[in-house]
Amino acid sequence: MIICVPNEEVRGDVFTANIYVSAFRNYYIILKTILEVIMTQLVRTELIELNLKARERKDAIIELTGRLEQQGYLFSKDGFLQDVFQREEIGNTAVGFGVAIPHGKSPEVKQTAIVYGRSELGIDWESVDEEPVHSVFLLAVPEEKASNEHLRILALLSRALINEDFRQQLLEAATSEEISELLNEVTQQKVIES
Amino acid sequence: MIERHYTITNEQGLHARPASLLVQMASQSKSAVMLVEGKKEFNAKSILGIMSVGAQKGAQITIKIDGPDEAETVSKIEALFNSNFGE
Repeated sequence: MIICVPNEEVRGDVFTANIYVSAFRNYYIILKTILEVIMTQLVRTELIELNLKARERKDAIIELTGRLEQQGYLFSKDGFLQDVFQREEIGNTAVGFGVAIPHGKSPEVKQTAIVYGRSELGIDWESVDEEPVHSVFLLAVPEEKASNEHLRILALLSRALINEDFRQQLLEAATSEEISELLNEVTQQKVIES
Repeated sequence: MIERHYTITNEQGLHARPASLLVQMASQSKSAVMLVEGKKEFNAKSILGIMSVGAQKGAQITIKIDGPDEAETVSKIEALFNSNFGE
């Protein structure tokens, strides 16, 4: 950083200038940290549905998309739904262990988010294993970010979900806060690691 | 045991769709199929295992196949990589 010192009187006051420099630096670090936290807090409590009403794949996706729309993440709900359904047609997004990760990289998404929905009774995901789905993660990723962001989130979620304890904790969590904490912990840890 | 090295050439890396194709192939095999990236080994019969790798375009990975039908499995997997997972 270059500090311009206008005249001799001020030039003497190197100490003051140093304070300015360090204040600037601190300000920058704080701003950067806040930004990082916002970026990695993909799961907000408002985006968690503890008791999904839907019992079928399509309805579950519609229900969770409602959350996204309510919270202002989408330009168009119908456009986003169309992209997610199209993706489901290419290949079922059930990943086993009663988990499904439907996802839409879509120009209709304003900001990356994960919506989580839980169903005690289970949802018919029309998957090969015919196992009912109890945990649904709906990923919403803006199209321009799709290549890396989408892959990164899928990898983070998958790594966490392989762990049986983690899946159990998700199903047993009593509040949305607990779940968002669990999920944000997983994503943030990995961000620091990489 | 057979080992094959690949570089991911898909524009979007080994995302969910190619991962599920690889799982389908691996699951049909009677052999153990592992995907190795760096020092980490992942089960290629599990979609979560493959997606865990998060292999981006340009990533170097190794496929290890060990079992009675390894030769047949490796040729199927080779074809899948050569076709760039149909992308």
